Amino acid sequence: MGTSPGQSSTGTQTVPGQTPQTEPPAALGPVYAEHLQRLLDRFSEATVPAWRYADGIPTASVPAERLVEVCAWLRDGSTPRFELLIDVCGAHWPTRQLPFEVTYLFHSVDTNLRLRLKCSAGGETPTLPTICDVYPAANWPEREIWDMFGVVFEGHPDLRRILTPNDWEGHPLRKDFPLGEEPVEFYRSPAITPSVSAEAGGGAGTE
Amino acid sequence: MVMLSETQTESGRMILNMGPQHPSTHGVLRLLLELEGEEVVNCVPDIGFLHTGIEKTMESRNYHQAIVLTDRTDYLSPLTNNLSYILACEKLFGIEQDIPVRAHVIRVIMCELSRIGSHLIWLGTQALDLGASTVFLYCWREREQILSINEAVSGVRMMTSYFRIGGLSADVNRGDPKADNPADRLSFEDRVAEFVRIMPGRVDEYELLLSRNPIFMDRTRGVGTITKEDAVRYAFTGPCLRASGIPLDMRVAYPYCGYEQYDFDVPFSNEGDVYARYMVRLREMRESVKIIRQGLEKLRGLEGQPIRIDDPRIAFPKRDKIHTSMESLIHHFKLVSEGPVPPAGEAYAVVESPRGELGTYVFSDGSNKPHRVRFRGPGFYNLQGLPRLTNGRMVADVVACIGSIDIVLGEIDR
Repeated sequence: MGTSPGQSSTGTQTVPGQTPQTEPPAALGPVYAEHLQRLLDRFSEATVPAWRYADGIPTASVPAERLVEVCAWLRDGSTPRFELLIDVCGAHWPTRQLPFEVTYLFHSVDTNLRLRLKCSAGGETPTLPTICDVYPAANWPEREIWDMFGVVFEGHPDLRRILTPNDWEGHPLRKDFPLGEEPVEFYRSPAITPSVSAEAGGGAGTE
Repeated sequence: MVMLSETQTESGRMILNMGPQHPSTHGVLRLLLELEGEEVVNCVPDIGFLHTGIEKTMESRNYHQAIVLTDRTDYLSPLTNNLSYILACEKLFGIEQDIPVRAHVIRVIMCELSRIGSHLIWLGTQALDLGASTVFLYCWREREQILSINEAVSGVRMMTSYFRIGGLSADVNRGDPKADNPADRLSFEDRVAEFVRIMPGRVDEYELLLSRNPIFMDRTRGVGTITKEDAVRYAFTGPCLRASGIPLDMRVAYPYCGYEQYDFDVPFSNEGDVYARYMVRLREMRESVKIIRQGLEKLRGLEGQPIRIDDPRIAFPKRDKIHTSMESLIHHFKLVSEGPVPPAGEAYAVVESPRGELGTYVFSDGSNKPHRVRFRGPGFYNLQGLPRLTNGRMVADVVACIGSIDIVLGEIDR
């Protein structure tokens, strides 16, 4: 009375209303985009993180000590050359070993290809090297990441706060920084005394 | 670092504090100008006056609630911000292939309208800064039409929040024959058709006022020039980059919402000065009109098609279904109280905002709230390169330069 293979395979089809699993077949071994593969060949320390990149942009993770070298190679040595630094973005993952992850997104003007680099830092004062000398556009975003996450960019020419005031304490986008909502007090306001609110409510109630 | 209290440097140069309440700084931007006579030796932008912690706040809202906050960044083209965030979310949810065509076409039309609307503000204020106040009033006249269309479609003139993850919040309006305001009696299609009918003539009008105006040309030609190489080094995008000779447009490079099916040109120029940026944006307005025309054509064939995906885990059910179907009511309740939950991962989505590459980076840890949202505002990078434009020029040119990079401080400070 065993079910035939055909039937059991239909049984594993996606049920309407459930997420189909989109894990890539692991047995074939990963196939990376050409420009990412070239980076991986050139720098043995670079790895591809096991993480879901839903936008399909090729991504590599590099250790902090090789970051500037990799960036300089991307700008001048790789084919295609990635001349345009699109963005530098910080993120705080408190449970990771290196909680502060900085993401660099590069664009190649000739081919419109994109490449993403990840570099993480941890410790008491998370520190990464600056890439301002290679990409001057990184100046402000690195200041922003210092301001928001407290990541120090070593060698940055002007590492000051950029969005918060100069005397601000703490780094707001860290997960342990409170959002700071003001609690709304509904009944303690002296402007609305019980008699006034009862009057207003009574007027509405008589209709 | 230059402090506010200083008025002179050691070499006897004057420090001039321009802003944050200067009318030509287009918001609350403060510039510290180091002057040698009337020549700008150095210019240090100081930003952050409008920082409201939008990215932090989004981390405590669910994916649908966070849409409202995206309007508040670049408040001159809220629909493009909506779209950028929503495209990132759709990638994260893995539904970007399932979005109905009708939703995409309406998204394109609305985004191009907001591009024109935003360019109109830029044009009006740029001309006003240079002393041509007529253009300012003309631009407001056309922008009013766009805001009315926004209002008719979304109910709000500026903070639209019209797009949703999976489609649109509602279909475009049919027009109400009994409305008091004559414009409200028209359907969306008729209103937009009327707008694209008059708009090319209006652009001609602006050109007549400015393009060959000797004062305007003197103030803009050869002013604030940036080379192709520097524009790339400082990560300029949008009209500022295209005016320097690199025709990079996200609608062409990474087509979204079906932009690859539209026929339009990407205007660019090799001059790299204020006048080139002016010409690029003016021509962009004409191209946007072309795109909207094609969009209206497509919309005609999509009458009655869905505007949202039919996936109760992500998109809201139709309003009338909520009243008649128990399941829809439950789905609606779940979406409002808990919100949709994407798998863990991250996604970067980019749109061509009126100012350049507007990217939204959404990180998910698998919960119902975004772990981190980052806006890559084009103005942030374009403003960073401002000293490149102003240094070595006169103080009066600074005004022309700020206008020409078309910044919106809401997007820069977030």
